[in-house]
Amino acid sequence: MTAPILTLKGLSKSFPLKGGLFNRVKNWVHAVQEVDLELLPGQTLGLVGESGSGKSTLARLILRLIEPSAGQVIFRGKDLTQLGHRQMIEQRRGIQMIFQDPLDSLNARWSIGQIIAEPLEIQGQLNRQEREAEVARLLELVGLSVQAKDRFPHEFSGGQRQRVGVARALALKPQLILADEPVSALDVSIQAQILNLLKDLQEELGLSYLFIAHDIHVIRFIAQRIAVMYMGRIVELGDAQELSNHPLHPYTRALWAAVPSIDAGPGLCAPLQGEVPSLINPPQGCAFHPRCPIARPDCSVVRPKLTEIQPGHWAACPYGSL
Amino acid sequence: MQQQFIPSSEEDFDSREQSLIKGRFDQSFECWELLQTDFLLSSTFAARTYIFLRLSPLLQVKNLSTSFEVEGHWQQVVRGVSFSVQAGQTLGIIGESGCGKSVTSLSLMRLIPHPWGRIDEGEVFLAGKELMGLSAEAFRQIRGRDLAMIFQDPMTSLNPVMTIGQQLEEVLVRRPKPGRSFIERALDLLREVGIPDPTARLKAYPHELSGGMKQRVMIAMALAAEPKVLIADEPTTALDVTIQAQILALLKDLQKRHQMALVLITHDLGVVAQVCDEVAVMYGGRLVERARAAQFFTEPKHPYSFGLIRSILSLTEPGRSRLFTIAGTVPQLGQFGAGCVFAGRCDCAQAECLKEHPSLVEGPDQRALACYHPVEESR
Repeated sequence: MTAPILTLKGLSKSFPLKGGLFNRVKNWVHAVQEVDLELLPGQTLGLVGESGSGKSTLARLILRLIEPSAGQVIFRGKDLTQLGHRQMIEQRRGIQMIFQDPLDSLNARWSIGQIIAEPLEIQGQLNRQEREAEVARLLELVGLSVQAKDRFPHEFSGGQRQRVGVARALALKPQLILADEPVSALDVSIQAQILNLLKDLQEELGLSYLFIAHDIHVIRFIAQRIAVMYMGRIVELGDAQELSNHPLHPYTRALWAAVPSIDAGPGLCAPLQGEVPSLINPPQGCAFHPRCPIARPDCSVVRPKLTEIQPGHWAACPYGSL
Repeated sequence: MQQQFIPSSEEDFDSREQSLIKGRFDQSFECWELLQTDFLLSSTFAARTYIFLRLSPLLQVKNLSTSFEVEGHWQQVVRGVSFSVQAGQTLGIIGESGCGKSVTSLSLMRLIPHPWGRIDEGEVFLAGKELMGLSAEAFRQIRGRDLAMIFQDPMTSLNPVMTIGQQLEEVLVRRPKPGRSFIERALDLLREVGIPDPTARLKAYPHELSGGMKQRVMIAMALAAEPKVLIADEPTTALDVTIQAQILALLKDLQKRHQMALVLITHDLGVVAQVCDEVAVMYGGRLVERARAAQFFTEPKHPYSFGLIRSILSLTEPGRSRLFTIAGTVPQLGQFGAGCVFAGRCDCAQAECLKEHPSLVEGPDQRALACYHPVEESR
C-alpha cells in the first residue's frame, strides 16, 4: 500500500464571532469539525456539499491560508501545521490551488505572461529567460497559444481564463492541486473541455487532486473517491462508483435525488424539506436530523460517528443501510 | 397584423374549425386533446370561446431583435427570435452565457437600458394584444401585472435597505383590493410561497434571509399582481441543489394553481428536462431549435443541441475516461460572420453553412429547426 500524499487528522476550524462593548467573543462558527481524510498519490478525492458545508474552508486550511484551530495536515510525511513561515513557503510549492472564478482570481491589470510567471518569480529559482520559456511551455500544456502571454484576462473567454488558472497552478510543478469548484462558473460545453484537460494533466504529470464541486456528475466523473460534507463534517466517504450507486447516508441520497438529470424524465422528486441550519447553534445529535426523512428519536441525542459500514465505504449514519 | 382570432359569431367558428383540427392544434398533448374534444362537442358560444382562448398561445413573440452599442458599433445580440407559450405551459429557453437568452427576456419586459441598447424589431402578443407598439406609460400598466419577472440573483434584486414587507407593499399598492389590508395580502403571499413564520419575515431585511428564502420573496413579489406570464431568468442558478429542487417544485405548483404561462431561462438542461413542456435552444443570439421537451432530449436535431446533450450524458456514462466536447469556444460578439452562427464549431458544416444563416423552419410535431444539415441519428 502506497503512503498517502496528504493526510488530514482531526482538522477543525472555528471562527469567533465578536461583538459587544469589549469586542468579546460571543459565539463560534464551527466551519470544519474533526475532518479525517487521506489522499493517495495520483488520485482524485472529490469533496461534495452545499454552500456553507465547509468544503472551501477545508481547502484553505490545508494550505494554511486560514490557520486551523486543531488537527494535523500531513503532506508528504510532514505536518504542515507545525512549520514556520519560511518552511511553509517551501511546502506550498508542492500544493497549488485552482479557484472557482477565473476572472476574480486573475489580476486584471497583469498580462497572462506576468500572471503565470509570478509564482516562478516568488520561488526565485529561474532567471528571466528560463521563466519565459517556462511560461511558453505551460501555455502549450494547457492548450493555449504562446501569443496569449501578452494579452490580458478580459480578452479571454471563461474557459480560456480557467486554462490560465490551471497553468499558473502548474507553474511550480506541484504534486497536489486543490481545485475549488474549478468548473462551476463555466458553460456546459466548456466545462467538459476543462475536465478533460484536468484529467489529461493528471495522467501526464501524476498529479493528485482534491476536487471540490457541488455537481455530483462532475465529481463522479473525475474522482476515484468521494467525501460528502454537511455542516463541517464528513458524513459519507467511499469509492466514487459505489458511493454514487449505493449512497448510505440519507443526506447523500437527498443530494443525489435533487440533482436534475436529463434522463430522469419530467417530474420533480419530493424535495428535501427545510434549509441548512445555522453553524453557530448546530442541532444536537446528528446535524442532519431536522431534515432527515428517516430520523429516529435517538438521532437528536447522539451524533453518529463516521464508521466503516461496508469495506472502504464509511458513513455517519447507523440507519442508512438498513 | 395577425391579431389573435377572437370569434364574433357562430359562422366564424365553423370556418376556423377545419384549420383548427388540421393545423397547429393537431397535437398529441393529453390536456389539449381533451380540450379539443370539448371544443368540438361544446355547442354553446361561450363555452367555445373560452376553450378557444385556452388553446391559443397566451404569449407570442415574433421576430424579436435587440441591439447593443459596443465600442461605437451597434451589434445585434438577439436576432429574429420567435416563440409562443400557452397558459399553464412551461417553455424553457436554454443556451450558454452570452447567447442572448437574458436579453430576450429583458426585451419582452422592455427593460433594455436606453441609450446603450434598443429593440430593433419584433412583435410581442399577450393574449392577442400587441405590446411593443404601446407607449412607455401604457406598457407600465402591463409590466409586473400581466407580465412578471424573477431574476437570477435574489440578493441584488431585493433592496437591502427596505424590509420585505415594505418591498411587497410597493407592489401591492399598485393593485389595491377593497376590504383587504396590505399586511393581510402580504402575509397571504408569503404563506403561498412557503415562507415559515411570515409575520416575523415582514419586518426582516433581505440580509437576514437565506438565498432560498430571498428567492421565495422574489417569487411572492412577482405573484403579487397575479400575472398571466411569469418569466424566470435563471431562478435557481445561485442556489444549492436541494434548495433548487424546492424552488422548482414551488414554481410548478404556483403555475398549476394560477394557470400561468412560465418562461424559464436556464443553462441547466437537467432543470429543463424536469420542468419544461417545450424547449427553445439559443446560440449566438438566434433561436436554433424548438421542440417538445420529450422529443428534444431523445432526438435533438440541431448539431449544437446534439453536442450539448451528448456532453452531459457522457458525464454520467460509467467508465468513461474522456468527455464528449463541442470543439472551440463561442465567438465574440460581432465575429459570427455571415453564415450559420454555429458553423465554426459544427462537425456537419458545409459550404452553404458559411454563406447564410438558415432560417427557422417549422416542421412536423411542433418542431422548428434552423439547420441545413440536421443530425439524423438519435442520441
